Parts: sequence; C-alpha cells; structure tokens
Amino acid sequence: MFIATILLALALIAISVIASVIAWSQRKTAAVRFGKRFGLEVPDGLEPSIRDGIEARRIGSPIGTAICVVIAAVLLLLNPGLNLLATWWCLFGAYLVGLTLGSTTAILIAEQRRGHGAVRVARPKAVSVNDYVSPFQTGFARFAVVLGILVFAADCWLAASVSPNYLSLISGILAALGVATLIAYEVIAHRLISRGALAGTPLELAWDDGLRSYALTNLSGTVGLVPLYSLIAYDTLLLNTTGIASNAFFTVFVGLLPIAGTVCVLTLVLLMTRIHARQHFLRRLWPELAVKVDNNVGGTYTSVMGGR
Amino acid sequence: MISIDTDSPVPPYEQLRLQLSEQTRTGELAAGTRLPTVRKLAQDLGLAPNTVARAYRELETDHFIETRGRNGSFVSAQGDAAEKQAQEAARAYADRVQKLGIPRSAALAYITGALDS
Repeated sequence: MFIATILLALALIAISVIASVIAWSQRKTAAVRFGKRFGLEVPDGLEPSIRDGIEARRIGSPIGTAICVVIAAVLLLLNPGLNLLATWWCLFGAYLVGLTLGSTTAILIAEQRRGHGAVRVARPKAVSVNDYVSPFQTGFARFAVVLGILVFAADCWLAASVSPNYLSLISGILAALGVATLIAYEVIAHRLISRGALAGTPLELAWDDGLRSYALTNLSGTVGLVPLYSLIAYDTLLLNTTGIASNAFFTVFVGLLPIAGTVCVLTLVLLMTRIHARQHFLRRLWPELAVKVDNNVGGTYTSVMGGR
Repeated sequence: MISIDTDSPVPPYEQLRLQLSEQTRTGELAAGTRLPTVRKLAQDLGLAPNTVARAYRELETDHFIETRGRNGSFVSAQGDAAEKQAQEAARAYADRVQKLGIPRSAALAYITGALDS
C-alpha cells in the first residue's frame, strides 16, 4: 500500500505538470480560448495584466496540485488502514482541490498586480455572488455538504448496533471538512466580489468579471466535489468492513444512499454545464453582450458601455 | 457605467456626483437599485473613500439616493407620486424576472405586450 500510494501521488503530479507544460506552450492563444469559453471577444492590445491573470492559472495549477497531493499522500501513509480504492479517491479528490486552489490563487495574485491609469471605470450598481456564480452551482455545493452531514448523522444513529466507532469518527471528520470548505467558500466569494476591479475601460471590466466568475465557479465546484469524493472514499471503506454488508438496512441507508446521492449530484453537474454556467455572469452583468453571444453576432464592444 | 478621469480639471467627487445624478434622472439607474458600497466604488475608481462618501452625501441631500441603514445606498424614485410608483413597480418586475431567469428580451416583450393590450 505504501508504494501504491506514492506511485498514485507521483502519477497525479506528473499528469498535472504535463497538462501545464502543454497549456504553457499554447499560452499565446490562451486569451482567445478563455474569451471563447466566457463569451468575450479579445480586443487589440488586451490589458497585459489580464493576460497575466489568464496565464497565471497555468503556473498555479501544478503547484497547487503538487502541494495538495503530497499532503494527502502523507496523511494516507500515516493511516495505512485504507484500501487501494479509498486511497485513489482521496488522492484524486486532493488533485482536484489542488488544481482549483492553485489556479484561483494565481489569478487573484496576478489581479493584485494591476497598474493604475488616469481613467477608471466602475459599475454604478452593487453586485452579489449570484451575479458571478449561478445559484444552481452554489446549491450543488450546499447539497453535497448536507449529504455528508446526513451520512454522519445516520452513522451516529447506527453506531451502537452495527457501525464500528472509528467509521463514525471518519464520517464526522469528512462532514466537518465539507462544512469548513463551504464556509471558506462563502467567505472567499464575498471578499472577492467586494475587491476593487481596477478597470480602465468597460471591456477590461468585462474581462475582470470573467476572471472572477472563472475563479468562483471553480471554487464552488470544488466545494461540491470535496464532500462528494470524501463520501465515495468513505463508501469504499464502509462496504469493505466486515459485518457491514450483511446488514441490509445499514447497507441501504449508509452505503447505497450516498452513492445514489452521488449519481444525482453528477447528473446535476451535467445539467449545470448544459445551461451555459460559464456565461452566467454575462447574462447578469452584461446582458447586451450575452444577447450577442446567444445570437452568435460579432461586433464591437461599444454596446458594452450599457452593461449593468 | 461610471468613468472618472483623474487628469480632468473637474474634481473626482464632482465627476462622480454628476454622472450618478444624470443616470438617475434619465432612468438608466432605476429606482430601488442598490449602489456599490463607498469602499468598493472607491477601490474600483482608485479614489479615496472620503471622495466617494462626499459624492454620496451630496446626492442624498439632492434626493437622488437614499441610505437605508446598514443595507446600503439605493437610488430614490424620481418625479411625481405616479412616476415614483411606476419606477418602484418596474424595479419589482425586474427583480422578479431576474430571479425567474427570464431573458431580458422576453421580459421587455411581456411589458410591451401588456402595455399594448
């Protein structure tokens, strides 16, 4: 198990580094691809700091991944009782968390380096987290966290009769981890949108909104995935425990219910991508630009001046 | 959109006050719209918070905006009583269609249809 854990961790770090090297080699077209994904046209002379922000996530991803995977691997090595499947899900969860945290942190650092010009533009209306992230995505994160709490509650309820005490402890730690990530997300999201945008033109403001939306969308996705992968890791551990599989009630409500919940959540994720979550901020903050994107109409950004 | 030029001979607080009052008067900023906090707008525009606070104070004195305690500053309804009620109804309608996720074009079409019928 010791060697398997190390090999899995090294494989995930290698995948991330290779992906980043490939992405780095394509960095000249990074802004175009980012603009396409978020429905933003790339103007001539795009603000260099915005380009930096887009490219920074390529550097941040492997660093974040390496840190999170190494931490997870060390924790797993200190607790050799987990089976290979549970080890894999834990490491994969750490990989996803590191990917998001690394790229998001890099974007935020790059954003702070913006210069100051004589002309500044700002939106004369207050914005909220829901302008950048679809309420559906936030609901997905909250649902996954609640699922983790329900499993813990069921585990505590059945602990005396069936479940070994250490399993209740593990599910309690996982539920607490889910709640902690959700609270951290809510705090970070509010802090992020209350920060100044420092834009010299409406177009820069739209790109800044795009970067913020990207960071928050990734973070909310991770907040949903952390309890989800924790549950899967927990399930694989649970169903391999002696005496559990023979108890039908326990298997259904603590073993299969989370798996069914997982399937539901993944279905919701698929639906979420279908409703163009990435262009959510355009529809809320730049409705005229969103109409152009929906109609696939090209043109200048003069109409963006009328954005929310 | 608000634009502030720090090289302009017009003081920044006056540029801000003029633009916000103009947008309120023309209806570009609808009644009931929540304005950004003083701190946020100051950061966005690269100004001192006192500059933005001064502009907000003067706008409040001129009844363009109103402060509702800790909820923040909001655009006041302009014109006579009927116009004020219409603006408030429009704000409520806009909030409702946004919550329902109805596209802007459809929301405007419903209004036009209701007015024409």
